[in-house]
Amino acid sequence: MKVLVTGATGYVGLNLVYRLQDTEHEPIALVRESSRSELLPESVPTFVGDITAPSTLDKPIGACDAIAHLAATIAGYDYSAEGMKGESWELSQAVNVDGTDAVLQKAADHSIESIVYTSTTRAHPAVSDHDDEVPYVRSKREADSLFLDHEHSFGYTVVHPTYVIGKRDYRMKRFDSFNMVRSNLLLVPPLYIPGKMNILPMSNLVESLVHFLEQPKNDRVLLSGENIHIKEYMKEIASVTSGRTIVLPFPGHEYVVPPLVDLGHRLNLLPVTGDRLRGSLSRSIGIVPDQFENQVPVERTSWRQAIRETYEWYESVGLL
Amino acid sequence: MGSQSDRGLSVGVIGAGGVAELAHLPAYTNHPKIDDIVLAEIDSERRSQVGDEFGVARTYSDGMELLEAEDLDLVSVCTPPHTHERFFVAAADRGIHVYCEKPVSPDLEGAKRMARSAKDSNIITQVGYTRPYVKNYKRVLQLLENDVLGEIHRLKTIRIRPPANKSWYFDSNAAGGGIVADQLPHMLDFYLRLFNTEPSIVDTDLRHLNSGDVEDYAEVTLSFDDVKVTTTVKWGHRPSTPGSKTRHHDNILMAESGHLRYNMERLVGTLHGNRFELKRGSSPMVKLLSLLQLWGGTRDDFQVRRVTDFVNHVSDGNHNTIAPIGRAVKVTKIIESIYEHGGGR
Repeated sequence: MKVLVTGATGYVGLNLVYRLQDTEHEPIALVRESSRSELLPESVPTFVGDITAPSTLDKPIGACDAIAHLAATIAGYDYSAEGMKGESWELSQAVNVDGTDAVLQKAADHSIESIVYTSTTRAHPAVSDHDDEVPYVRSKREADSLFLDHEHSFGYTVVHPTYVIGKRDYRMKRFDSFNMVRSNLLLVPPLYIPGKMNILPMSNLVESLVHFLEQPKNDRVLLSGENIHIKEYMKEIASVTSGRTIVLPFPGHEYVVPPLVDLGHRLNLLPVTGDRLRGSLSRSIGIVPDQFENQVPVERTSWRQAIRETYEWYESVGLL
Repeated sequence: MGSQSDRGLSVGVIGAGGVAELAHLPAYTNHPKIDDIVLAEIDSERRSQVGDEFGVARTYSDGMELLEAEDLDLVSVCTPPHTHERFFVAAADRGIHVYCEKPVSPDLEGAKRMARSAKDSNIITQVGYTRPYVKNYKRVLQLLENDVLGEIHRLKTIRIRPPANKSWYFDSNAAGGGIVADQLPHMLDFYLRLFNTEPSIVDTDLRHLNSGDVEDYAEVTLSFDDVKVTTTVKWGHRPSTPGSKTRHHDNILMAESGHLRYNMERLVGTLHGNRFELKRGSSPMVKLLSLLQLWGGTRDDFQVRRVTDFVNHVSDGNHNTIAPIGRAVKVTKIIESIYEHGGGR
């Protein structure tokens, strides 16, 4: 199949395009004028278009058999006046909801066979937590409904990946932890925030996307690894980066750290107050209920391997 | 002549000034493939002092005499610029591979003649540009070549140095000019690596602030495919107390994904909102956000590495050094254009 990849120059998009090249399918990239198309393999055909300008989608979608719809905005990333607020519902709505709607309309118009679409962990009903829903998650939930609540002429799969890590992280979304470990011999909270996380190796995600393009579920699917402690994540990064960094727990750090930071602030040593930290000294990243762990339709690779591949990529491009 | 596998290499060093002592002699002394080191220096006191320091086999008062008397595989030319060509061509005529310090020649014609003689004799050459061996600069190139930086928007470089301590630096005929001829070769070499295209000259401001004979301040703006690169160089004042530093060096490179600020010692990157800092290529051992960073001992022996790399190329018969003499022709051409634009040397 000819597979149109929206968001082709993003983190997942690039990895999917490279993976598709090794399959019987042919990737075709949808890029905006401002996209960094030079990151794509030279042999991959590109169409310039924008999901927020539906008329630009006819040609690319008309040329394909299937779509991997990955394009989305994380409000706050853009420099637009709305984006800068970081709370922009309008921007999320325009790109993530209306943009997806446009892709679906054009897919029907051009007799597309199969669509795979990436949502987010917290938009999945088994994980969701409506109480602190940010515009991004809300927009993803609405876009999910465009698939799930309607009849379609094509097969589709809505995937909800957990915390994805892997190579080609040109936007340095996962860099901070690696840099933190590389730059410290000793890591204790709050240098890392204890809690739990669920890692989905990038290779498992892109394999799964290919799988669902070929065999649509006509439903939503959570894609996950196992829930692990963030301390284990940092320890594994330490073992591949410096090999000498010690990661230690700090029981009760939530109670001890804020007064220490307050003291530092009063002595003019620290720019933040303890109050700013309260409530953010423990967290979870994309964890899923136990019965939803390790859900991928392809052969699983370990999260440790994903960390190794990510580190090797950062090192190969000069970031570490 | 040339490299031979059954015996070690013989090397000559012509000129026993600072760069010979800092880069060439330490590299040659420690290289396992070098058997024999000879030295030529006009100043007898310096000759015996440096000769003793590195335990060289024989010394000469004249570089030509050294080239006549010795059966060398390679030679380092570390004398003032106006004398380079004579030694370079004489070495090339004898099939001796040459490492030549910068600036290779006071003028473009001289650089071209040197490149021609190297080509005719098929010798291996390298020019003493340091930046491609400095860890932080290498990192900048690596980030660029791997598409992490994206397009470069702007580069500003500033370098202030104490004035040179040899009289030939202030003699335009010997040095090829003032601070532009002295400092810009390294920078231009690096810019050519970053942009991989020849620049046009947008603006030049050459001044004689404290030196009547040659310019000791320059601000030069070049355009590489519409990316402006501004370089400010200045010979400052002599340090008033021994050990104090009246120097400053900084590059700020603005690119699509953020910016890098770097010099020989530090590299601070802020890319996609992520900040990282390296000291001579190494990460900190302690980093508390951006409040406190501590390093262990860090080293960057780029001066020795650049000469060692040349020996390795000679030993392998590999002509493709990091900066063959042809590269110096390109650099010298830009320097000539800068002087032309700025109203002469």
